[in-house]
Amino acid sequence: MPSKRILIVDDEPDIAQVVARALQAAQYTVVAHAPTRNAAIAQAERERPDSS
Amino acid sequence: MDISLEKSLDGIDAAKEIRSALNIPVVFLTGLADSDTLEQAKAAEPLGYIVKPINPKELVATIEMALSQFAVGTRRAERVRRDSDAIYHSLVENLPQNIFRKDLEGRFTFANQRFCRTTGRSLEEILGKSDFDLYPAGLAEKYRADDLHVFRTGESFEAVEQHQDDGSSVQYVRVIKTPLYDSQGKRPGHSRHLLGHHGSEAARRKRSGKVRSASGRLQRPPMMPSSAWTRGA
Repeated sequence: MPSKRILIVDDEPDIAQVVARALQAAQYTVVAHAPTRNAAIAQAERERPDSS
Repeated sequence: MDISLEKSLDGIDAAKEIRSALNIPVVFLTGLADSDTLEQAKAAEPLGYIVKPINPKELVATIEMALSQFAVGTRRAERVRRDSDAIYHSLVENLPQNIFRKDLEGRFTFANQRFCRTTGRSLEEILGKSDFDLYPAGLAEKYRADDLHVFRTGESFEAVEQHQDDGSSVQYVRVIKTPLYDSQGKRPGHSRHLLGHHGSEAARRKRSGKVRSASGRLQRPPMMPSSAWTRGA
């Protein structure tokens, strides 16, 4: 089963990194990190993180 | 998804968009836990809400539950849709009615099997065609005018029409045309489709000489005899 794909949305890089590390340790794939509302929507459209 | 990005609560806005437009599940991860923020966050329908500081185990557990809930919801919605399709299909195919749907341009977008049989055409031959492809011009013009009236006014059209087949038999057929709306609600003049059905009103046999005009709200001229769709009825 392919690993689940997660998009992280946070404007603080430190926090995003902590979250990314925790998710990767649990075998998730972090597809992108978006710091703003618009970046979040754009990345969600492009990367289509897990919806199944 | 963090909640406070550049502007306050921008994350809720992004989550709403991602959830509704893309159908991607969202878990909030935020320092905000006041009741006002919680209330606003509900509108984005998140599948989880974690308050910072981050606990990696809690983060993973919440995401796991969110993904599993999302999958359950998707399966359930799929089942409801299939059940509803089955009911719709059994109704449409078993009622003693010729049922069709047309778009604004008058093209057929659906026809039930009975309609196909009475017109003597397959569904593939009917879809995308208009009344002008199926009926004599005079009849097609009347049907188109009735359709446009339904689209324009948002009112249903109902009439008992008289159809005469090639022999001496005259049939009375009740025709009902109704504007169709999507789930966004009714706004007269804004329907994109029309549902029509017609069935036998009363099997009366008359001499072909005693023909009365079709009655209807629009008071159109009498129907042309020998309409195509009564041929096989």
